[in-house]
Amino acid sequence: MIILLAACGSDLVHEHLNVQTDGALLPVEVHGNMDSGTLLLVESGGPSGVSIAERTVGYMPFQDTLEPDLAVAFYDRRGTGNATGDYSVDDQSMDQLIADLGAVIAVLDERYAPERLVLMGHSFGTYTSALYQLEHPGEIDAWIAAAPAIIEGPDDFYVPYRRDFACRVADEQIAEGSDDSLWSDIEDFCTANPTIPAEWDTPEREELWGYLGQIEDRLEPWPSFDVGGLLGAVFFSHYNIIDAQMRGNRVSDKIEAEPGREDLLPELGAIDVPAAVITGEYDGTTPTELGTAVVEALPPGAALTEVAGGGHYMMADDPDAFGDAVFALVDAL
Amino acid sequence: MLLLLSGLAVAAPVEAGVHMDTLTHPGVVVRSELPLAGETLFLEGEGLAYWHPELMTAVELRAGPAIEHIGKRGGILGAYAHVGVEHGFWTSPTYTVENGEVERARFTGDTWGVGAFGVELGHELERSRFASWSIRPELAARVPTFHGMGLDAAVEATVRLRGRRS
Repeated sequence: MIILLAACGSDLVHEHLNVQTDGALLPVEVHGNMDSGTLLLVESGGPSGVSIAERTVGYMPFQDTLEPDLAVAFYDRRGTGNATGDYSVDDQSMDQLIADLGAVIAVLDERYAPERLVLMGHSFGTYTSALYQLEHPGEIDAWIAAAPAIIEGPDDFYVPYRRDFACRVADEQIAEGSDDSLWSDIEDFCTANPTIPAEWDTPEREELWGYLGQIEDRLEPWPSFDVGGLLGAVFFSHYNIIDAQMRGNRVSDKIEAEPGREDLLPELGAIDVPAAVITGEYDGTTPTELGTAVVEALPPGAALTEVAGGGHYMMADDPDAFGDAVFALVDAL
Repeated sequence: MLLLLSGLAVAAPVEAGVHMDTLTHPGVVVRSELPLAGETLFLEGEGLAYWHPELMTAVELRAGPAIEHIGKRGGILGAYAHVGVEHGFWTSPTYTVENGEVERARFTGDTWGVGAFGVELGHELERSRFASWSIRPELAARVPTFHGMGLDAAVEATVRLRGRRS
């Protein structure tokens, strides 16, 4: 009864919406404190990331950190999760994803008229959220790039950042007294390869990727699946999580960056809203070294937060630390 | 559907009860049948509706063959396979966005083809206003939906309102 009364007394919003645009029906969920005037829209990773389900199964657990103080919106992009409609896989493109994001933002503006709209990209979503801002300046009030990403292109732009990540982690582990031979092997590799070209299929890249896999195995956390949340979603939510989680996503390989724009770093200086970049200490996929480059590319004032011990889903590894980084940005708006 | 309607009209057997999509999405079902071969093979038709909170209110019409065996003590064992059509009316607020213009849309939804198969367990009733009861766990597929094929597990529990079995 106490729980029931507490729930009835809660001012938190829990709403499900549909956005119908360009042949697709995109489900949107909004959770949290809408009275705060701040709405944070999550642009998920992937591009096959199932955004709404990531909250449900504990990969984006903002229920106790962000949602009491601001509202958080999730949506499934076309081809993923519960998105449906009359469109084909071949209709998908980067331009279409940007248009869909614009449609979701327009609906959130129409329904909630938030005082502050914060766009938070995760991984692949950092690329689309940055591209959206470059093509639609002035539409949002702040940007969060969690695990900032680059799109694959003719070159592998990740190589130098991941090399520096591996070298840094090896140095730290040796300094902490680890006698694992992996770290000395990586140190030798780093000494022999002070730079590695951002190219595919080089022997150096192959060796580096082997080390990255071993670092991931030893150090990178991965969020545990919230089975209770999954069962609750199956039986008691409006969300058809069986379809979202158990079936393959239909995301087209036609979703690729415009040639020459795989790496948006040279363009980030045009993003003129307050920004925060958040990385995980042991995320070798989108490492802090890349996050640092993003901060340096943004206009002055952008903040970098590295979540200690965190991986690619640093928001699940340490929700409080992630929340602190978000509020450091939001509270200053 | 015609089968169901004609069944209702011409005093063919009629069953009614609850349809529980994913066990927790409540609904109702009405079913009728016509014999195809003796007392074992039938052509069934049924109409159902269920409410998936905040997602959709769905209505469905389907038909297909059913086999049935009634034991000496009145136990009922059967199986069925249906095909039909389902329409879901979105129950969450739906907005359309065209050329940057946002409008609240009304009575929006989607239509799918459905296929379902399941088994029937039940028993005839004596000294009751109903002829029998049955429970049907089933698995259904909707096509095309959710960027492919949607799967729905459900259970139906019905009583036969008129028309004695066997």
